[in-house]
Amino acid sequence: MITFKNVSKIYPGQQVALKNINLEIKPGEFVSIVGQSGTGKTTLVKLILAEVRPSKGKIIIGGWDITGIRYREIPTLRRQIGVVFQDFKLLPRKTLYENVAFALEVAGESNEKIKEIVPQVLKIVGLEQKMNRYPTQVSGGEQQRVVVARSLAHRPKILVADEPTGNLDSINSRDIIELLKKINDFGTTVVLVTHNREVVNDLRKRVITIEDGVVVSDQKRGKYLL
Amino acid sequence: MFFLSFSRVFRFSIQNFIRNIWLSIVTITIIVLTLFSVTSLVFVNAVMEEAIKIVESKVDVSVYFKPAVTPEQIFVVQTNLETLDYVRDVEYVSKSQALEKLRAQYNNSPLILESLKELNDNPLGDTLIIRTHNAEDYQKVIDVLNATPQYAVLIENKNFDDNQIVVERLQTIASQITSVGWGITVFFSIIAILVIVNTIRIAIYTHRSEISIMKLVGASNWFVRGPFIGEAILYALLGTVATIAIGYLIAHVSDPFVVGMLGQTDFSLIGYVNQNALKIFGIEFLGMVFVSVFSTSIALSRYLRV
Repeated sequence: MITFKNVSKIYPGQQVALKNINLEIKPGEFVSIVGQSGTGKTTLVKLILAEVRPSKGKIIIGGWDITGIRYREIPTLRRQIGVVFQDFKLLPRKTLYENVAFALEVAGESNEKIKEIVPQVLKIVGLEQKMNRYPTQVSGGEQQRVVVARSLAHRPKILVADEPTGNLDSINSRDIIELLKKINDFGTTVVLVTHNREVVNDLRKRVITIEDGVVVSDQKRGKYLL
Repeated sequence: MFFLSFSRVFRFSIQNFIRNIWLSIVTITIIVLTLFSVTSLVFVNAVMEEAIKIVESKVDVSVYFKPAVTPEQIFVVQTNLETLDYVRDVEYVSKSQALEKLRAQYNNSPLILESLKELNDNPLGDTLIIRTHNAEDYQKVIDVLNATPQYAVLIENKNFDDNQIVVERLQTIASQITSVGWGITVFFSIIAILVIVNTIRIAIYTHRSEISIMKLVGASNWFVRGPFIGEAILYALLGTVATIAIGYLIAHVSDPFVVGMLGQTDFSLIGYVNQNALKIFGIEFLGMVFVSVFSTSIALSRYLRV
């Protein structure tokens, strides 16, 4: 599903973010990518989303070589990948329903489809009763669940979650991880980027550890090593 | 699909416009000032053209023949002049008609009328009054009369009316007004470009959350840029509508002065605007759409990364 072949990313000023990364994530896998701050985890996410291009190597997503992806092809790629960030990225003036619908509107989905999909994904995250509330009227954990719902709206094959529990307490963190597991059970490939030891250890799924831009460990049923 | 996206882009454009309403008003004001300077220029040019036309219609060349010349000889000259394609008409005025005209002209000058009575014979000769299509062609008529010896012996005097000087002066003023008008228009256009660039820049800043989410969920580039372009077109449209309203108001208010200044004429500014509204305001709208979209493109290429 996701393949990195000898990928390096060097930012201007000879700042090496990633060095010779080789990865193979299979369809339906749940992979945690762990490492301390500044080790290159977010660069890896940016490479998957084609926000930055690799300095060296090859990246293949779902059989599509995105190494030299064209500017106008990026939206097509991003519609196939759901993304959840630490800082929620919800629009405060829109209701929870409108926030999810917005993702479908900008992708050109029909109004009928939007009316059908939005309640469905809000139901998956358990917020169908609060869909008319505004982000400020719900808790941080619920906001993050809306973001998960939004990322599911396009029915992506891959879900990338970059520190999704970073702003949440332990109870809400557990809820979000349970949600990601549920989504993974539906067959979606989940890439979880985190430095939350507890979360990773509880998951008992594949763990890839990055240190100073290099993969130092790749365990099938791993633990947080650092 | 296209119309759906188009309607959404249009909706986002209106949202952008309303959320930055004060900036939108300032931008539209600058656009109105720019278009108003163009409209004023068009109006002034129309009035000047009409004034020139009126004065030009009063320009003619009068050819005074010697008293001994017979009307038949003059008719030969008249027929020959009428064959010239730049001559509009040639009017024959007999010596008795000329005397009547002179008496009518100096009706209030008893001294001149008394002097005319003193004369036993009519001292005036027959006259041909020649008018051309264009003011520049009068010199050609005079050249023809001078260059033809058989005409020269018949002619006592030629008079090229002084109105030509008035025409030339009006043309100079009109061209000076046009130059100054274009200068003002260019000045306002530059200000409009700067204001629009900054308005869109602020709009991009205000909508940075929406933009980042749009990019995140895979909105196409034109969908991200579209609302800003739509906003720019909206500025041009509302600016043009306001200019049309102001233009009609100015035409309505100034019409009595224009008609009073031009004297007896069929011309009216309102009539002129009605006749040319589509051309004037259509070109202004398209021109302003170009300026707005150009400015927005500058702002988007500099401040929006998609």
